[in-house]
Amino acid sequence: MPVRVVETGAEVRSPVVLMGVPGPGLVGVIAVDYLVRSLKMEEAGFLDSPEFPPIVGVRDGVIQPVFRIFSGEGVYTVLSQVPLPPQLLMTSTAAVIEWLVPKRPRVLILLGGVGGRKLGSEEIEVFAVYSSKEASEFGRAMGVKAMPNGFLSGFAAFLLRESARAGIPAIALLAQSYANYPDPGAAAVLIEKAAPVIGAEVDVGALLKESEEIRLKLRELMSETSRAMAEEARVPTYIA
Amino acid sequence: MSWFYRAWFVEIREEVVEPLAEVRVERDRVVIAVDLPGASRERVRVEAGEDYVLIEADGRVGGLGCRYRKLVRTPVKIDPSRVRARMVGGVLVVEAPLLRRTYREVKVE
Repeated sequence: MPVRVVETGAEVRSPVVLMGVPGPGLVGVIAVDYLVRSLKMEEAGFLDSPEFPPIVGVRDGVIQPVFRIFSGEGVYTVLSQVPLPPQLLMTSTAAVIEWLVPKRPRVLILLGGVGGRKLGSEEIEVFAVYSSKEASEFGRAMGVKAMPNGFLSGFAAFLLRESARAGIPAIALLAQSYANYPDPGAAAVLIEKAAPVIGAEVDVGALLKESEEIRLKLRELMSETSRAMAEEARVPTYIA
Repeated sequence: MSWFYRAWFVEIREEVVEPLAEVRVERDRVVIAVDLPGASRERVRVEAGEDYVLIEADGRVGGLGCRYRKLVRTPVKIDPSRVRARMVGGVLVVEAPLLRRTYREVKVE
């Protein structure tokens, strides 16, 4: 299944790369979308494949890709706005990694959720899994806990392994979140944790303010994502 | 709000929206959790029968009114007289005890 990265913007050298795909609580997509908006990032490219599901965005009557790349302030963000079948998501991620190698990224950070947040709980823990010792240095800067010894499976495991193979330091930054409800609160915590590595001030106040609106408006995507996760068990799963 | 949110909110003109809900069957009860952004406890109405729970609520999201309606058919019969509901962080949690005990202890030989 061929997936190609089409670059449409100016190249960023040695970027920090942030990636979000639909998963538990839609934490990754909410966080990355907010970063794109608050850092006023520009469209820098998109992923294309004839195998992608027959869905496109429509903006002012013109179709838009749903797996897009943005850039700004030395940062690339990679955002999938639809849940893809696992094999296609992995092929797409491999294409992104291959595209990134010549740009010599400082670090690739997958933002996501792991479920397990109790209803109403204000405490949201963030865990990190690293592709290498070098990547774990970034974790120190973010002040996040490394996952203890165990096994990680699913998309996050694939991204970390392929990044290690390509020599890109990578981190899966996973917040405890609601599994089947959009969780802007967990996304805000992730952004705050990632901020020192992004190197830009990001105020999550506006995100928290619009959290009810996000929960309402993303319920359809959440519902599709939950269905995909249940069918294909591709949620990052950690076994201690 | 970005294009991203608008794109997924295709039914923006619907009068009543169906909220996200999770249904879990436990040993002696059915637990239903319904995400009701912008709804306060006072504006939530819960009706229960032996095989269903109906949730209706009014909310206010982004300055606009919003009406929710969700009918959950329970996979086992519940006792409507003992159903309890509470709001937790914008999520309505309904706990419905089973109408009859449907399990027994089995001796391991």
